[in-house]
Amino acid sequence: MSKLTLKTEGDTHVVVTRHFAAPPEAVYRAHIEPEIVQKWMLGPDGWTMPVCINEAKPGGKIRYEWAHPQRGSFFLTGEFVTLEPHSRIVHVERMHLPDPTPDNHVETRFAPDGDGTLMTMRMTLPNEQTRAMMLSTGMESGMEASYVRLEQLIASGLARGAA
Amino acid sequence: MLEAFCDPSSDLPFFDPVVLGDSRKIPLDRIKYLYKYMPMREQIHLDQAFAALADPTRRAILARLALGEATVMELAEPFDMSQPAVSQHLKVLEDAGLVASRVQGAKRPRRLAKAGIDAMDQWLAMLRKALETNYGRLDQVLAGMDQKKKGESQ
Repeated sequence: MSKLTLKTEGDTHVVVTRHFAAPPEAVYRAHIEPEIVQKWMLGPDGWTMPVCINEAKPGGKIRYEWAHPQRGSFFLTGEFVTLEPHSRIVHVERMHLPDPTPDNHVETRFAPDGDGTLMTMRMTLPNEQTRAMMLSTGMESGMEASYVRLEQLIASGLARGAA
Repeated sequence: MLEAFCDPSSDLPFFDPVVLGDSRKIPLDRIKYLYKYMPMREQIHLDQAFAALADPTRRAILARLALGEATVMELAEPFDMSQPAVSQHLKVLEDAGLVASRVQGAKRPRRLAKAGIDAMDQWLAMLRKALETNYGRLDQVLAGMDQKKKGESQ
């Protein structure tokens, strides 16, 4: 069963929740420390994150660069707004494809949930058109990579279904 | 119940499984079809659909239609809004492929257009999967962190 939810909220928000079987401190660190971020925030297999800058302080810079041997590269920049260890991160981010997408204001909360953590990521887009773009076409071009992974997921799902 | 839908500040759980059905049950071949053969026109459609959802009145109209067919007059009733204004919102929803109508005498009852709403839900299911790839990887990283910590404390 998938532990993830993704919902639209109001006119300009997208809310993602996910449970992790680890304490909030660990999940928080996994979002902040570059050497940990580089291990998981990769999209589909084959992509790497050669550059990961996370200046974990208010106003601190964020820069993630993704690369794939055949599919090229793209990057994201942003700034931290608020950091409350180990419960809350507020930051602003934008994709460069290569033109920058409108700013996405993101609040990520880490709350104790049984033995683990409930992460709630609330994205706020500047307006409804921007959210529509991100949900329908923006994410599509930004996460072109995700398509490939999706294809694999579908293929394996169909293979399993046929077996 | 309808009053709750009319509160612009209330966020309707529009992608709640109760309203749209559990997305995990969508057959994979349908998702595959959507992904592989979705023409540009359909993508614009999807873009329009998400834009159409970004309005509390239109979400309330959809929530009402989720309960069953309704005429413009019936839809206008719970809102402090004229029928032409509701018709305008309906046009946006129809253009986006989320609402359909049929002719019944002098009336044109509106209903949810299942295909359009399924398309949105399937698209969101794909986004969920893409995110889940990252978080599945994070699960493993976190498990590794935990073991390392235990190793250090021993």
